[in-house]
Amino acid sequence: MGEILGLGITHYPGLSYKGNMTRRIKTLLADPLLPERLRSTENWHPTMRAQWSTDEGAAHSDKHRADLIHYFRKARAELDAFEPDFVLLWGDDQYENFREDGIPPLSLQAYDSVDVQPWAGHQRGENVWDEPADKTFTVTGHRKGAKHLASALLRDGIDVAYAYRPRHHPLGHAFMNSLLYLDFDRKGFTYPVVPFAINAYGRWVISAHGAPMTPSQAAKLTEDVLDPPAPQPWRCFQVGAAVARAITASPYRVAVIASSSWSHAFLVEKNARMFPDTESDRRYYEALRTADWAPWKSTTIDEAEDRGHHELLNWFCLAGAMAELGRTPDECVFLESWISNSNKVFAVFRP
Amino acid sequence: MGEILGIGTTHYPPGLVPGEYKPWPLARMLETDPRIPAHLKDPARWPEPMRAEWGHDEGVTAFAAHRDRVFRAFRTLLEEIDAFRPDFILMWGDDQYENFQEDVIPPFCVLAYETLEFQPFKRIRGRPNIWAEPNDKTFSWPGQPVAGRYLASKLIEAGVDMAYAYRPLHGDGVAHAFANTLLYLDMDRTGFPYPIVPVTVNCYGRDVIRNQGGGSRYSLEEDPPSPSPRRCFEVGQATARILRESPWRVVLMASSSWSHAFLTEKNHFLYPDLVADRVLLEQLRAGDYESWRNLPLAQLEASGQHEVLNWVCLAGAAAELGAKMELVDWVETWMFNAPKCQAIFR
Repeated sequence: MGEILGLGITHYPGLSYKGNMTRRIKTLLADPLLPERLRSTENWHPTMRAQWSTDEGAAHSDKHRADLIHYFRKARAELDAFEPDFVLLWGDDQYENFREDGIPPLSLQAYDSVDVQPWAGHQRGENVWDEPADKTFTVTGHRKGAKHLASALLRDGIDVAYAYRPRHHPLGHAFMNSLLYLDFDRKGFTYPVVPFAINAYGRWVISAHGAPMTPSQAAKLTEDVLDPPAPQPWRCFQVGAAVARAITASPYRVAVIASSSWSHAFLVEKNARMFPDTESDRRYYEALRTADWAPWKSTTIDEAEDRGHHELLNWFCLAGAMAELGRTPDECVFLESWISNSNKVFAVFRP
Repeated sequence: MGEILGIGTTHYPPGLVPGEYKPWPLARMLETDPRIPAHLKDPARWPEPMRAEWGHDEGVTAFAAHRDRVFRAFRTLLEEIDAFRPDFILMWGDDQYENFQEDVIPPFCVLAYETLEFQPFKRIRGRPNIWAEPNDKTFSWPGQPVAGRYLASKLIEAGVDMAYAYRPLHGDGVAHAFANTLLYLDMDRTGFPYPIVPVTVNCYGRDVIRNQGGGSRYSLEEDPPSPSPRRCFEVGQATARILRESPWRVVLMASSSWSHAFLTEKNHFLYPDLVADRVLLEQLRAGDYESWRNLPLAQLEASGQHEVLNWVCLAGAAAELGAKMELVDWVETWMFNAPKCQAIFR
């Protein structure tokens, strides 16, 4: 009889690097296709204006960073207390491991282990740990557990792909960042990891290489070049429920972790790709907090994309799993940030 | 409003090679396969119909007759396709550790390629082919990437977790299930102009990496299973619904022989499970698609019917469309690995 700990975290790339995490706002302000009204802070939402303040968001960035680190330490403490046999991570693949030669909507990575150099070739600046560019992390997998899950899901009518080794990239940033942050204090991360890749970027995964876009960059993409869509959020909810059933019927103690920030500014077309859909985030957060799964299990992909909730598909999997187990969050927090691209949520569902 | 014609056929590899080379798997397996008990390598101990095929020339004469019937049926299928004038052909076929290997095994994948390019004769171990074409000949067939993307999109929207690809990953262009079928459909090399959308089905499931999609075992570690027959049936149903509402005229084609001797342990890997195949055939004749929907995967595997999963997709589509099967030919064999069913679903 398996045991499950549920966690929700983020893999927000900005946290890896030194400096102001709100610098993307300046890029937006310099974009010629940004609507004129948004060039003046007077026309911004009051919270956004307050966060930007008179220091170009520096104080907000510092506070947001400190909050993120705090909640990552708490998540790690939950993990350590639970002592999982392995960690299942739902994360998105942004044209990293999966490319034109095959995009599976869902894929379980049943690796033995992979070596990852997260700082090699990065342009974002110095990492906050001052680790060298050739620093190599060995991430141990749990092939047997991953195969158990793949088998159970296939028998349950979930068309999940699996792999024993990487194709184009050893481990996408959604997974690697999550591990870097869960080991923020570099005491070591010894739990085997089963990455579960969700094609969250759907129509933009190949056409835009799953990359952040400004209004000018987005305008260059026409409808006819877009790819097939991401899996439906309601389908991800079903997938999560199937995962919970499979683990419950297994001998394993598993921490299931959804990793992504919530509404992404650079994906919210209606907000000129400048700030996230905080109202929608708040609504889904409130539903999560109270274990009201009705909106989570009925959302369509068009609705999710309108809200910049592409990466929330990872959390739809977690929601499905927790609904299947009848769980309500033991702890959760909403970290509102209008100017760092995204709001972040942390959640803990203890067994 | 789309129009759909269903076709079931085979991609039987030995058909590519002249009979005097004894290209059927058993010829090689009698020499090399340790799974076949020593005493059963003696034809005198085989079932009577199998000994009759062996005859006086180790099967060469029987193989010629077997292949002639299969090829005649291919010509009939080609006439049907020409009469239907499809905008494209969707083909369900298996990938036997060809395009998909350790770095990803999707249960299903729509290959939305611009062009299918392949060198099928590189797989026939230096032997000649029946067309006397150069062994390094590259074939090029048009894909239909717009329809491929459309189908993948609609399936994903409907809750089928369908993978897709725009270009090949491993192998020499396209798996033999698709390549061979095309070679046989253009048997007389008069040209076969219809674009193709291959859809792979991971028929080999627990053995796809362990056995590299064949009969020999390279590892003790079992892989995750195939999609279940029920899921294949549902995928076929969903495909039919989507294409019925599309603007295209489409042939939905499943390509595979049925029970494979080299997968049938209960028959010591010598001959296929014809008893089980005949049951499946009668169910199709009767339009009893529900029985196909409810086939247990373990039962299919025990009968070496792994590749029938391609046909289960077609059966699902036929059920959705209310189509009836017209048998073109049912060619049984004991020696030549697998019986071949070729049929039209209107």
